[in-house]
Amino acid sequence: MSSQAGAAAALSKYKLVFLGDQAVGKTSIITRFMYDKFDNSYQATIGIDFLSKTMYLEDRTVRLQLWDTAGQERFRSLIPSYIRDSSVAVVVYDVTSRRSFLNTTKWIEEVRNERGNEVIIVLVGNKGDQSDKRQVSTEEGEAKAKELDVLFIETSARTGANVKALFRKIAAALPGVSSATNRGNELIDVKLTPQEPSASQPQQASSCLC
Amino acid sequence: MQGMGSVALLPHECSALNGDVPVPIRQPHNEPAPDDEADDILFTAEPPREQGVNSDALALVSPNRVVSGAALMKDTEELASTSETAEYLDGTAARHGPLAPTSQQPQQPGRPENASPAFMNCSADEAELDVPPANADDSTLDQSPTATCAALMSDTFAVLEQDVMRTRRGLAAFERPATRARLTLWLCAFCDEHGVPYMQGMNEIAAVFVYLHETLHADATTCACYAMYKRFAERYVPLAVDPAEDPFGRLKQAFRLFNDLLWFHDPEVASRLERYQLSTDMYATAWLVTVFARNLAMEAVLAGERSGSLCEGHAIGAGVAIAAASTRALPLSETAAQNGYVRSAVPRRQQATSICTRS
Repeated sequence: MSSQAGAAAALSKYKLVFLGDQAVGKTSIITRFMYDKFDNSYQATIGIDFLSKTMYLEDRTVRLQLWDTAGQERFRSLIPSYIRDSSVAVVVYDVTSRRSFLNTTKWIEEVRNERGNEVIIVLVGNKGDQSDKRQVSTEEGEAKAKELDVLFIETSARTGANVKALFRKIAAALPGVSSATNRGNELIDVKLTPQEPSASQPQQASSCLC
Repeated sequence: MQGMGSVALLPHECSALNGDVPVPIRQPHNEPAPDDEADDILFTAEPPREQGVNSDALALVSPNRVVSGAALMKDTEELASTSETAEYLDGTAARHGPLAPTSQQPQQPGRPENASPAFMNCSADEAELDVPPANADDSTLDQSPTATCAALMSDTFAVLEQDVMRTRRGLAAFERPATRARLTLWLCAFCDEHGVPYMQGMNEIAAVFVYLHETLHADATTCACYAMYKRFAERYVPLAVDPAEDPFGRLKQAFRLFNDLLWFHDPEVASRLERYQLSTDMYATAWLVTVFARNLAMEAVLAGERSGSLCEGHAIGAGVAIAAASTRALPLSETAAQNGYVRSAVPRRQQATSICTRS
């Protein structure tokens, strides 16, 4: 509550709301980030769940409140109130489900309606490890993000690839972060599609588990 | 009565399964509660809100702690008599519409309405059907559930399927395709029978009964087990299925009531939660929507059921039960009508038949 701005390590708090269709991996991404683990047995989120984690950046420490929401459309009417005072909206889709990708438009609209441009939106294509079932290419994701003017990254909660990168990307974009920390934007985004010629990519993906 | 072979399905009689209002809520103060041992922990002697922090109160935020909920129940009566809660409580009486099969059955003389376990009766619908006597083998559920479900809800079916795949994955029973097929079919049948769309969370409640059937009561008929599920779900599912104008109207009512109960029993916890702006919906949505089926390990859910704590002995459980039962709930069918939800083409009788008879 008390904002003691004097000290260098003022702890800023940010609220991140995770949105997206059911079973795209919102809870999995959060669990990977929080506890660095993954299992197949996550139950569907009912309503809302929240967790918080402190992230230590180069020049400051931020506290992230992660709000995990239910994906089913029927729960959608409960969600605007959670979006209302959030700094970041993480809109997740499943790269193996075109439908979930198409629905991100609605989710992003919803966020814009609530928060206008005062919010950082990240479009996240999850399950990037399942290349054989992929229905949405990385390029499509990128194009959509560009079109809607949001950040973009592909992740795999299962392997852990890019999950940390996602949160660093978010942290770098948070208001009040100095340009030094903005280097975060240049973090290597691991391409999860191995069909690209560069051979080093799969290794990068696994090294990102960290 | 059909399904007599299922008498031993539950070792005690759980009034909640009757699709009826819990007895403690209904009974006036001067009548003894049916569960006398639960009366030990009553703290209704002191005036509400003036009492200090009571030791049970923490249980309200710790689902793992099992205490008697009788106090909550009893206090709720007082709330009911003084506040709009009374309206909610009265509303429950009106719930015995076309959906409550018990209302169509003759009361057994000299016994309260919870005396006869609901699952003994199967349901009125199923009684119409020529249900074979208790038999361990009911392989009907291996019939492709999609045949029944496809017509039901093309849109929500995908959600249902995904949820079934991730329901209770840690349990061996739910790793079996047959169990998952049964869960799918029960959910479809329930939704179809009541004309409501599938809602995330329903799977958690159904899973408990499917699990019972698959494990502890493998000798019971599917019909009887489904009937148990149905009774239970008819009572609680309306919370999350509401007229279209506000799909969560009833849930929000339940939140308010739950919050009242929390203030009543533990003002300290309640005020702390409020100070940190933690509203009921943030922590209690899954509790209410799934009646704790989601938040507790299966053993805990079943242990609660065995000891009666699911119905009466668990403070939060009781709070949830009260909040759930006492929101002014419409019968599901009415809800569905208001939703303009179109019934599937599968006739009700056929639906039930697919569950309750063997091929």
